[in-house]
Amino acid sequence: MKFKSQFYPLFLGSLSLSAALLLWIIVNQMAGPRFLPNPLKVFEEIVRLFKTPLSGRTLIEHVIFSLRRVMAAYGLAIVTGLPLGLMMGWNATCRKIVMPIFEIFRPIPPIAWIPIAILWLGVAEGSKIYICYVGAFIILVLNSFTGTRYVDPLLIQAAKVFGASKKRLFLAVAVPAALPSIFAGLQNGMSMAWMCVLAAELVGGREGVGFIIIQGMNLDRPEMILAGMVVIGVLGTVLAAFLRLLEKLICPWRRQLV
Amino acid sequence: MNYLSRQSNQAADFQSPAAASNQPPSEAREPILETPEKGLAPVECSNGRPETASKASPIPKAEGPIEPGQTRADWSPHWLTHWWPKLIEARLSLLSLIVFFILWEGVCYFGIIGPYQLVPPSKVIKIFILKLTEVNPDGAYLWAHALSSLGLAVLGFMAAALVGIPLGLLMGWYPRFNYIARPLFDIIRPVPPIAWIPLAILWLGIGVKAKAFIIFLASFVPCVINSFTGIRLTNPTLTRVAKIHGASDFTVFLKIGTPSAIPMIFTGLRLSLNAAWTTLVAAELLAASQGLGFMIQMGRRLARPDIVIVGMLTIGFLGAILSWGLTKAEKLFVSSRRLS
Repeated sequence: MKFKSQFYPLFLGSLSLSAALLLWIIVNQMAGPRFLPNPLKVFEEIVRLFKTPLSGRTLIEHVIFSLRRVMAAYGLAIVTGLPLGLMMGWNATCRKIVMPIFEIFRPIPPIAWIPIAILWLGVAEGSKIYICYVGAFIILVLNSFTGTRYVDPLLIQAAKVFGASKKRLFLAVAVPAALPSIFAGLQNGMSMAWMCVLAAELVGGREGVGFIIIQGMNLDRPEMILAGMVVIGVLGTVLAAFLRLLEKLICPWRRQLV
Repeated sequence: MNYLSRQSNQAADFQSPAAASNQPPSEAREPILETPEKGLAPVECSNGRPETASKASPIPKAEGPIEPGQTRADWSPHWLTHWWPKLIEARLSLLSLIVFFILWEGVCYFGIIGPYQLVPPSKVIKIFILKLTEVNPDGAYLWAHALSSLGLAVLGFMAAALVGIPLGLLMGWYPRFNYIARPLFDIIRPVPPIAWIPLAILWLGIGVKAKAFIIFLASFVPCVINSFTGIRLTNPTLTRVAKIHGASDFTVFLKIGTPSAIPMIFTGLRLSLNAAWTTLVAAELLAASQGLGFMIQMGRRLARPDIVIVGMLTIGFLGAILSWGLTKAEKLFVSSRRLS
């Protein structure tokens, strides 16, 4: 009985996975490899991309290009977005000044910035980093803003009763209380930046993982697209796991629900 | 008390005699008097009766710390009491907006940023109005682009909600279902929907089908995750009570689990709508012959920043309207909800 309950989920899961694999192979057989290549071929394609360069770069180099863009934009967004959001949450004057301008740009999806970014900064690194920056920036500002704005008033009053100065109130009470929200923002911001770099590379790029899949489309090679998608999924998972680890280290006192 | 009530009666007469004579006097008086009463009662009222308190000290009550909006309601017109304080409070925001637009206009006017990079807000408004009745340079009216985008987004979003919410609820309620669907879902989830665009175009061409598919994928994931979490958080007391009263598992799922998941479902829907709108723009940038994304892409190709900016602002505005509508729908739903 115990054996069954322990392995039951595993059994059902592997059952559904193998069913999906079977479906994949059946579709492959029926519709032909031009429509959907078989899984083995996708795996071979990943190996091939590792070894033989695509437009002068191997898979590793493409990955490094994409990661570098994301990291540059993400770093910039942290440096500018977090202080702005914290200030907006803490200082009413700052909120009143920045909020209306921010509200104009907030609903515009970062991907809609792509054309104007290309007009402004060209098709080189600048525009791609800018787009990722916009994506991460808006999320970071919103999260650090709500984090500091809705700090439990009890905490603030208690600190005031004990005679905390304004600066200490901010640094020792508001910021730590906002950390869970900030970390949620860091995670969402990262996944947003990752999505934006793909979009930017899809629209106009000569390197990066987004370029691999769009090149697969242009060359009519679905196995290349699927290989690129696998790489993208794995990298996205790794980045998210890295941030979760960081959260556990820096902010262990409150875990997010989901 | 008497002093104030007299004053308020006079005010009512002064403002609109007809309304005042129609209403019973108590109704007209009460809202004005209530707030100062509350503010003073704990300090001055010893035996719990407000009348004695006001008789003891009528002057501080009339001139005391009564909120400005309320005293002024006695004599001044509505716009002054209602809008003026708001305007005063928002003066910084207004100022910053005005400064922002002046700066934007000035940067363009003095040629600090060239006309092929940025156009002033005055021209943006002009082009916006012009674009409503002109098809140049991208082949369709602005509203036609907007309608085509909106239709696609709503189509994909609805389909995703119809499939995703029941799937998430079932996964959250029946463990067996979860074991089966979870691995597949976990494989699809980490791949951003945008990465599906090339494959979708290869499979379904550049028409409506490919875009609907991509939008469906984009809005599917948040729907599933949120309805899953929502139904997992159902208060166990409620489900136990229902079971004790002899409800079957499916009835409990339908009558207790699903309603209690509604707030989370709506959070998921909002995320979904955002994702749908974003992904749609990406899909239209890459391959389309109509739609707002196509319009801004054409604007870039023709080096027309005015078209690009008008398109961007329209995208942002429509996105905001969509999520506003969803919030309204949520209020409609949640107010009729009993469980919490």
